[in-house]
Amino acid sequence: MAEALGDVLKRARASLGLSLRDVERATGIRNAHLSQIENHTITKPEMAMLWELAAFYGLDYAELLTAAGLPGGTDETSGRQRRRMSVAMRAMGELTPAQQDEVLRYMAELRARVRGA
Amino acid sequence: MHDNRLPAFTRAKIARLAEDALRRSQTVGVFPTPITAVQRSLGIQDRIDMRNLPEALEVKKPRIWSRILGAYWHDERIVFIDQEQAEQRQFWTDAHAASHAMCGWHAHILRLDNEDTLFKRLQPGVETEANYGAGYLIFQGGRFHREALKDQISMRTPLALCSKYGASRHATLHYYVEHHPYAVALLIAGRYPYADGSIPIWNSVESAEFERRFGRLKDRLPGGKLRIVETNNAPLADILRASHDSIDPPSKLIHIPDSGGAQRRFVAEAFFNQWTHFVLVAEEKSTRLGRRVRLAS
Repeated sequence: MAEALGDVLKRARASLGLSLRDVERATGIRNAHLSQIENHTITKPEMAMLWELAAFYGLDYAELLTAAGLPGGTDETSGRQRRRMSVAMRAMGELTPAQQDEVLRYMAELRARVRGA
Repeated sequence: MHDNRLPAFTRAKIARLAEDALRRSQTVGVFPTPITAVQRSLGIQDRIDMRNLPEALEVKKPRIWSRILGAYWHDERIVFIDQEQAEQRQFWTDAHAASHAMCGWHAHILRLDNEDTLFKRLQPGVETEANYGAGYLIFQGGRFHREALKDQISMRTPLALCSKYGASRHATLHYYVEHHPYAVALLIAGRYPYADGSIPIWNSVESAEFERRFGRLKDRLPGGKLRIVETNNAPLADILRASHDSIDPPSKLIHIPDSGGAQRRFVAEAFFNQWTHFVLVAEEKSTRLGRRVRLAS
């Protein structure tokens, strides 16, 4: 079973010999808030906060998402083998997954054409 | 707290990232923000026009292609943009893409499979963050309000400033209210009335001060409805109708109860852009501050 987020963060902080206040000074995350995360009172912190902590402790962001119960999007965690592209799309109305796939495939082709030109 | 208001840490983090991007691109205090310079400073390498396609690909484009306004491909650092959309909308889409590029964690979230429950749960948050960042880049954080607060607290102020910032009237009104230090609120509503004479409220935006003292503006309307047909319980109907014939927002005094039940005097103003109705309310005593603004007719 995966280690809980609070335990991962507590261990990372201890291994660097830092106090909660040291982390607050470096990251801007309040020590009381961090303490609540480490003690499992807060189990799903903000995405941006996890990003900050991952960078500060030198941890893998995807692993922190997993520890927070938010799997990091590896193929193994979703059980699917679909090709993934980190594309953010703004569209009029919602697109079905099939429509999104069609658009993503076309974007890849367009990218290849433009970059190859 | 609003469902769409971000937590304080995330707001501060995005603001820091946006300030860094503005500084690196040497665009601080330049309006409208040269957004392609900001994009370049964020490592965006290509900007592809989605409407001007190579001939060989034009025939192969998906049927739904016209519904895509823009996209940002993190791993390739490419912005796809519909350059035929209105200039202000394009500007917002570009800023939105820059914002995704700024928020490094978005790439990880977006790599999730679109069918995953997780992705669906996180996607609205990612979009809210990107919108927050887009607003910050366009209005350059508090710089917009430092200018706006010299003028009267009124709809006229953001309406007069929107072209300088390159933003739509809609986006400027929204930003003005959401980040305003005083008690102001905005209703954004549709054009066509329902059978009961009310118009659909698409969004209710409140400044932090308004929300603290009064809650959500839409919840303060009689029956939670914004009526455009004049009846006994339609306090804003007259200015909504008058806004159809006037560029200068018609206004009136109304009362809004605070959380303790005391009735407070507010100035309500209405504006109509042919598609959307906007109603801005500001506490009457605060509207006496600042320079008067006149809108060119």
